[in-house]
This record gives sequence, C-alpha cells and structure tokens, in this order.
Amino acid sequence: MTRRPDERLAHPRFERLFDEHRRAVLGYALRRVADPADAADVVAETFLVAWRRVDTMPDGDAERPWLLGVARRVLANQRRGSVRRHALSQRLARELAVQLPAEETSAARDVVHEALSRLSEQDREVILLSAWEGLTPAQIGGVVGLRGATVRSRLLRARRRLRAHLAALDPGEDPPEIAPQPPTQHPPFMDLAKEHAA
Amino acid sequence: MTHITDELVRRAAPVTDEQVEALDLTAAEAELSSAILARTRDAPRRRARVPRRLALPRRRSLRWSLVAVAAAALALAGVSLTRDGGIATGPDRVWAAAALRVADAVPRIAIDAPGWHVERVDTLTVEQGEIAFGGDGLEAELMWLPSGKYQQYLDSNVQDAKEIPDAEEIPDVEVLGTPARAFRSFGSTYNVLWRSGGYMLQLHVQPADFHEPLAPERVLGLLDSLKLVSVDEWLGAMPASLVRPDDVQTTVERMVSDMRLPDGFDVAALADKLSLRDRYQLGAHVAGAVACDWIGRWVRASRSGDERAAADASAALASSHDWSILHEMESEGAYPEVLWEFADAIVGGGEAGQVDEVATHYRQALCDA
Repeated sequence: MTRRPDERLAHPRFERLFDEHRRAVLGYALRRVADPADAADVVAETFLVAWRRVDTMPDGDAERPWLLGVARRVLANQRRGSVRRHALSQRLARELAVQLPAEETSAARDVVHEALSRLSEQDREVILLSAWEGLTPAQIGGVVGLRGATVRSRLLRARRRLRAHLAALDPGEDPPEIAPQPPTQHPPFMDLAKEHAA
Repeated sequence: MTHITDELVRRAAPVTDEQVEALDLTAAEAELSSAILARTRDAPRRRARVPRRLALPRRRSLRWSLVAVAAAALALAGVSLTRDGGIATGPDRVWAAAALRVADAVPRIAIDAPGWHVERVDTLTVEQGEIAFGGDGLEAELMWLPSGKYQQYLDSNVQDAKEIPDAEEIPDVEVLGTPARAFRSFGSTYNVLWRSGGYMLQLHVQPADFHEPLAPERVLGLLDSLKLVSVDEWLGAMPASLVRPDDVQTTVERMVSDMRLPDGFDVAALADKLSLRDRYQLGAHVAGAVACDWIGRWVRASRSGDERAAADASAALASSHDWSILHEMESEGAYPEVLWEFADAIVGGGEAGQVDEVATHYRQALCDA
C-alpha cells in the first residue's frame, strides 16, 4: 500500500536534502565556473528546483545524481546567459568571493585541463563526474540521463581519449608528472584568504 | 581501485571536496535555505514519494518551520475499480445528498484496463479531488481543480521541461477527445494536463518503481484507456475506506473514545457533513482537533505561568501515544509521527524558546486536518 501524500514531509525532506548535499552541489559548481558567484547561483537555483519538486524527486542514492543533474542543467543555462544573478544567492556569493579570492594552478594541472578541454562535452562530463564527484557509473547515468552500462563504455572511451591528449601535450612524460597534492587542511586558496585577512 | 586517469583528473580539480567542506558558509547557507523555504511551491502537488527515511533533520532543536503546510493534503476523492479492471457498479445507494451532489459535478473518469485498481482516495469535494490508481507496474494520479488553475500548472510543467534533466514535452496528445499537454521529467514520470468543463485535469503517471524507465507509448496507451463513467458507477465504486456520510458521527465518536478530551470539547462539531473523507483523513481531522485543543491550552498556560494547567495539557498529549486511531494510521502516512513529535517535545519540555516555537507552528502542521 502506498503511503498518503503528506505535505508535512516537504519541509523536513528539503532541509535534510540541503544539509546532506549542499556542499556536493557547491563543489560541483565551483569546479566548473570561473566566478564563485556563479557557483552560488547554481546552488540557489538547484535547491529552488529541489524545493519545488521535493515530493516527486527520487530519493535515497538517486538524490545526489538528480541534484547534480539539475545543477548541470542550470550551469548550461548559465553559460547560455539565460540565467540572471539570483537574489537568493547574494550572501552566499559574497562569502565565496571572500573565501575563494583566487585560484592557484600548477603546470601539471594546466596540462590536464588542456587535455580535458579537448574532449567532447559528454566525454569530459563523465570523466569529471567520476573523478571530481566520485560518482559510480550508475550515478553518473542519473546525472546525464544515460544507463549505467552506457556510462561505463563512455568512461572507457573518454579515458582512452584523454590519455591520448595527455601524451600529445606532454610527450616526455607518460603519465604526465602531477604536482604533489597540497595538504587538504591548508589548501592554497585558504592560505591566500588568510593573507587577505591579515 | 582508482583509475590512474581519474586520479590525474582528480588531482587537477580546482577545488577538492575537503576544501569545499572547510569553507565557512554556515550562515549564508542557512539564509539561503530559509529563503528557498519561504518560496511557495507553486508546482502541482503530487503524491509524496515514500521517503526511505522520514527525513526529519538531524539537528536536535525543534524545527517547526519544517512541518509547515498543514492539512492541504485533504481534498481528494475516490472511485474504485475492481481488480479485473471492470467498473464496480454499486449495489447500494446509501450515499447522502452531499455525495450525490459532488459526484454529479466532478469529472468522473476511470481507467478501463485490466489489472488497474484504486490505491488511495482521501477527501472529495466539488472543487477538487484526486484518485490514485495502480496497475500494470504503474501509478497514476488523476487530479481535478477549477479550470482557472490550468495556466499555473501548465507554466510549472513548461518550466520543468527547461530546468529538469531530460525533461521534455510529448507532442500531439489527446485525452478523451480533448487536446492535452503531456510532459516527461526525470526520464520516467509524466504529467498530462487538459481542460474539461469547469475543471483542469492532471494525470500524473510514473512507474511503481521510480527507477524503472517508462516509455511514452505506455503512457499514451493508458490515456486511451480512460473513460467517462456514470454517477451510479462512480459512486458505487467508492472504496470501503471512504467513510459514508451517514457513518461519520458514529465513526468520530469511536475515534475519540480512547482520547482524553479537554473540558467543553465539542465532539459533534467534528462530524463534517459537507465532504467525503477517507478514514485516514477523518482520523487526522479528529486526532488533530483534540491535540490542537490541548496544545493551545498548553501554550496559553505556559505563557501565563499556570504550571498546573500546562502539566495537565502535557499529560493529555503524552497519552496521544495510546490513541488507537493514530496507530491505525501510522502505516499509511506521517500524520501520527508529526503529532507525536509535537507531543513529545511538549512532554520533554525544557528547551528555551520552545513555547514560542510550538505556538508558531503547531496550527499549520496539525490543525484543521
């Protein structure tokens, strides 16, 4: 038997969704925009859609892929210039601007970014969802609207192509040298933020 | 094992998850969450999906703002089809004039296909109603509202088609000979909207297992199986869980028989003769009225410093855990849980500002159900 429709669950479910996934959506957006204010917009717009659809959106393991799928669509609209700066996200945008004043890049990162930029949007997205968001193929399917098996084959193909681009960009190294990852408790931009504060 | 290419890409991430987690954004995020919750959910109300968890926040503090939007889920309607898909013609005509008036006015649509049956009905009025059907591995909710609501619902679906992953409009759809607009979202859920007489109608269709795909052809086939039925067929097919108007008074009296009632509480006033309610909804109406009366007394007593009266109300609310109708309702919906959450908070007492929090939110969450 199905349970009753219950509007009373809408608020608690949204709050839990927001609590559990807000940083995942923010991270997803921050890794894909140049201006942190744009990421704040993506978070606001994504969770606004989630609020409107909180009683019908999928639950459990499918929640995060669904939210990232919405964020992906919002980002696409943003890139087309069809989304205006959201009034809801102004404070979040201001806070992000203070805490993420600059982005530090390394040579190795530039090589990887350049190789990524040579992939098709679809290939790039499945790789980034795997590597940056840590999603499984099935979850990636939930974001981009593909079956898990299709994602698996697309991931294989995308990795192969990425390796080819990396080799072409940096023929002396196989694989290209990666700069040591900075300690997570002292990320470069946080140090910069401290300098600003001082 | 992490794939080496993924590891290269992971290390090239402009911002890591750990860095995002370390950002101090709590106040800005709380402001954003509150601002979103202040927005109305103007989209069509559809069946709440069964949450795997009740989804109450992990924070200990009472978040009564969470349980807003009270008993709006109470204007639904019913017709029942037999399990073999036929329309069950009712042998009895015990329906009161109110029921006949409603049945005469509303769009009487049934699904005439093998295996379909009514899974849920709630309350029925002339203004709006909803029937939840199930069959063939699908769920279908038929809802009707005054036709003036059509544009709002249409706009919401059009907006979804732009915003939600893989949402799209299905072109060239007709329902019962009337042009309709059909939308697919999340890959497997469909909304079909059309107007008929003074009503707008929406059929929301999705797989019983939300994660299963659902091809448009199956939805279009379901639309072809919709048919109009007579007043007799429609009323005769009402499910047993819908409390007949003639039985409301007796049913209410039975429901309150194990409740401690406040002095002067008017049980007779609970028997609403103008609408048809399913037993679950009548239970929420009755238990909510009693609980709300006690909570109101507790709030007033707490604010005036009348400790004895507050303790008396608190004890009455503690006994809500023994109200049999709530236990009966528990497997069907969350109303009992919400009521007990308020009751337990009052009985537990002690948190600063709790009286104000309860006073601000209990009516919206529990009352007038």
